Amino acid sequence: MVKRLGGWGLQTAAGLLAVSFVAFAIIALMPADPVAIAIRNWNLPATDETVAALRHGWGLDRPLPVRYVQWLSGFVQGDWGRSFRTGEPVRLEFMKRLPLSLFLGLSSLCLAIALALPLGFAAALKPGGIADRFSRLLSVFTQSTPAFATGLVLIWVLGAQLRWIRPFSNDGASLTLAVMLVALHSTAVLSRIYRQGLAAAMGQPWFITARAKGFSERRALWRHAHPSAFYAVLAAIHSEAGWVIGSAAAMEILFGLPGISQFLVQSISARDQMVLQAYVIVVALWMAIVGLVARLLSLRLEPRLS
Amino acid sequence: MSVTFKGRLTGALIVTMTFATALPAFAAEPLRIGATFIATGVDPAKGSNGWALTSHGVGENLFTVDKDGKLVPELAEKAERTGDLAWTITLRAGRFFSDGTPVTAEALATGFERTFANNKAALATGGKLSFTATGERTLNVTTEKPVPLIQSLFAEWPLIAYKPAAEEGKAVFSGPYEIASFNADAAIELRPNAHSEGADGRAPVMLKKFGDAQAMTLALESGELDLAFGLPSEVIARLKANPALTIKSFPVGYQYFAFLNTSRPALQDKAVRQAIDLAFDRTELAAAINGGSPATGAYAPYFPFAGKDARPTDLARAEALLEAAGWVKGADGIRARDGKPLKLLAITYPQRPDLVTMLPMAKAELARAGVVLETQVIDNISQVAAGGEFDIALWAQHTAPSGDPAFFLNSMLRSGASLNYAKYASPDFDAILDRFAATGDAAARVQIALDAQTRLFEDVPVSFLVSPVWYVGMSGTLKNYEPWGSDYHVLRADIGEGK
Amino acid sequence: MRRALAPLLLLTLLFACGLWQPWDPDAVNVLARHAAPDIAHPLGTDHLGRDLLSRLMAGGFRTGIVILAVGLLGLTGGALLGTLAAVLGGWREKLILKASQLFIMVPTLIVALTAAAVFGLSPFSAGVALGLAAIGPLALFAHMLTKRVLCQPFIMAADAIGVSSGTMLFRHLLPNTLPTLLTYVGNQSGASAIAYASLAFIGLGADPSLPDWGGMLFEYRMFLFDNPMLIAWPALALGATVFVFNRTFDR
Repeated sequence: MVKRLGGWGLQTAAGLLAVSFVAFAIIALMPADPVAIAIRNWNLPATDETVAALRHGWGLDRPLPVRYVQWLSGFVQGDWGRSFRTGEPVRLEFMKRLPLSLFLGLSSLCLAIALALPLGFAAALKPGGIADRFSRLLSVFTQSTPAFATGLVLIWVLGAQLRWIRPFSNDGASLTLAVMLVALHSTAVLSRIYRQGLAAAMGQPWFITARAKGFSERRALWRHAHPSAFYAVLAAIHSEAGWVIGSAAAMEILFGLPGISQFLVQSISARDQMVLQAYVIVVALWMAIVGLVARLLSLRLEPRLS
Repeated sequence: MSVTFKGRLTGALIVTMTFATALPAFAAEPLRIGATFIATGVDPAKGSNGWALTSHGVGENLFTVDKDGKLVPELAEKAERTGDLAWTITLRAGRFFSDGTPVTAEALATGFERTFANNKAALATGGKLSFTATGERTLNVTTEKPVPLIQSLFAEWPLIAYKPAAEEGKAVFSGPYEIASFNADAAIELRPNAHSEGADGRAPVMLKKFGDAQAMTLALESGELDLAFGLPSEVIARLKANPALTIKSFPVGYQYFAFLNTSRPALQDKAVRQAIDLAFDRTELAAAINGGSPATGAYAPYFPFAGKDARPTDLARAEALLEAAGWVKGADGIRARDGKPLKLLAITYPQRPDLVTMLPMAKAELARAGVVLETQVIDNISQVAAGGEFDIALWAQHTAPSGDPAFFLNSMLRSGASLNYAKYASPDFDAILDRFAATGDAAARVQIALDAQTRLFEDVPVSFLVSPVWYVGMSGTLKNYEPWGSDYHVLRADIGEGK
Repeated sequence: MRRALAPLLLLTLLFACGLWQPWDPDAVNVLARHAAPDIAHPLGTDHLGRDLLSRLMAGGFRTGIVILAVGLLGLTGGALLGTLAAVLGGWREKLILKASQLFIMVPTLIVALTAAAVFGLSPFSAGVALGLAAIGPLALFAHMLTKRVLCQPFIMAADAIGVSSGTMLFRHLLPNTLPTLLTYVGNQSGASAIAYASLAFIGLGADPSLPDWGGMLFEYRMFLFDNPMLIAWPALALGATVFVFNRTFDR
């Protein structure tokens, strides 16, 4: 098991390296000269010497692969470059905003799983029943309406009409609303997957045997069908983690939450390349870590299945 | 539990509750204020922080402009001219920094020296100033260029008065508030400056930045704010119907205008700039933002140095000018020269929502003349504008912040000025501005300002669009708040004092 | 293939919307702001007097471009690579699979967000970015599907009697995988309409004056109170478009 995980970790690390290089190369295509930006923003004299010194200092006169290696060695040592816009180190700026974004993403994922399991279970227990129809409706709805559009309507109803929440105060209630909006899509998807997994297991001979042994349907479902269905849910979490990050970005804009996506939007018109680079890496790391956790869980759950 | 103890507990509870409900505006309950602009840093010498910190009631100037736009002493008592380039400023007695030390000439001198070394915007009127403290409250100032009225110079926004702190980039101020916590781009918590007059009755303030005014409106409506400064005009009708809110409109010294970047290929040609100026329909723009009047020139109409007539709109002449410049309309209605379409990049920023509304209006208006606009709304406009990668920038600016016409022209349109985003360089225009240095006579200065505007109308590095009105919205707590004619003094000593 | 009719019709409609609108979608009229629906403006006008229907139609065209780009890129790129990997086997299969796994390390929307930051947001840049990002998961899916079909007895039989590889691919393999693949691509294209709307809503590198549905939702969100239809129509158009794609290709 350790060996298998180790191999997977190595693969992920190699993948992260490749992603960071591709991102680095694409971002270098950005039609902007970092030196010109720096001179402008830090009020430096625009003499040929300054320009040449800066170009050399940042290694811009070297080929792309060399620059990439330089950036990478800096990155792993905690030097993520400097934001042109704020003049602060990018890592510090991210550390200030990351907790909020992480909270948004993690709690949405957890909430989605917590809601999807009972919903999917109830749906499988009674195909065509209320829970089944509700979860199907939810999945049709969340797949055709983006979270921010739902959010707009909810802000209007809850914030301005009913005055139950203060949508832009970044307080508990507005954050909860954002988390719920992000979680909605994953809840729908995961509950359908879970239900499908349970339904598939119900057709298996061993399930029928279990029923014949006198287990109630509910108990049999939980004892014998749940593990494999939950395994399917865990397998789907990786792609949902990607969806969650995208929705969370829209929520940061909608609710004015100072997370990393809002920071990216604010930075990009100043062509803040290092911020974009760091953003892509942070998202890739998030995906890798969620993938790792899901994998660990499924290994624990059913060592044979993987 | 004994009866007496129970009674005491009830009594304490009642007292606490009365206390909590009877004193809503006092220390316990901070005033919650929303704005689309807040300070981006605490270094008073950087960028526009000087303006922001004064606006937040943290910093003060030696002189300032009061509610009626009149120049009055603030930290200073008086200023006297002692030579062509020399002035002596006497400070007011009994003023303290927020760290409890008295405001001395020596402390301010180090602060000003630092500002002049680091902020080019400070150099606009008098060049580089040097300072010597000759007494506890006497400050000798030497200017580089002759300055007719130093009071007005010291009311300019870069010249916030402060004492540099030991840590580089930090400073100590003397205003009614001091910064309790600072979170760039998000919020600033202010507490009363304990060493300022009337600090005991002043409530702390939670100043929150909104990325866009739309969000701020929703926050005001949902009871999240006591004061929202700079509401978008589209929502005013609805907000006025809300009994819980008080909405006030007020004319401002701000002008909305468009920088036309004279260094860009298409706009290098004066005729093209003139055509764009003529194609803007200012009545329509003012209608779109629900208030204000077509601009007459560089200044709000109530200033004596403002133009008299609204700037003209003449689509036919605009088209003729473009035609003559070689930009010929194609079958698709788009003008082109040598096969290249007349496509310009227009930018603005979300912190002034009126400008965002005006942007698609400008696009439609210029489309009538066959000019195509790509538009972009940019969060950090000053960096992008300074970079020069734009053709047209819609801008809002207080054009007479010290009650005098010279500062705006010197800081934003003189050749090589740090905020000259249009990259306008005209020796003739600079010569007109030089006359400002020679005279302190009000009537003469009006004439100079009018001459300068005539020159601008001809060269069009900037096209003046609308003299707006602004809106503030208040909850019951602050319903008596009186906005002054700009956002230079949003938070003042009186705002949090028992309403 | 009959069920593909509805999305194809919808796509045609979206493109037709780009060719003609009753009004210039950018033309303003301050005298007719927030006009109620009538014959001239069937859906009314917005806060600048722009015709909402025309803007909706122009936005539909832009959304159509994204859907088409994602569909074409995803289908050709993803299905081709996945099928090839399964058929070729060996190191080439490994390589393609590893490369595809790289693609899913960064979420589709973030790939498109990066592209918008670097190249600006347009239907074209977003369509290409979303389409390229869709190739990864599609290739993995196509590979899995093809592998499954390859194990079927009839394929083994065909292999045993020595049919040519072309016949094998087009007569036996693709007819079995393509319907499922199309379903998947259809879903992806529908989702890409939402992704594009999200990008326009977030507004990174976008021109806000252009009538994108997501951008309209952002621009009009303030009128949710006084003129909720300004929000309702773009949201409805978006929802209906995605619904048609998902519904048709569901199961």
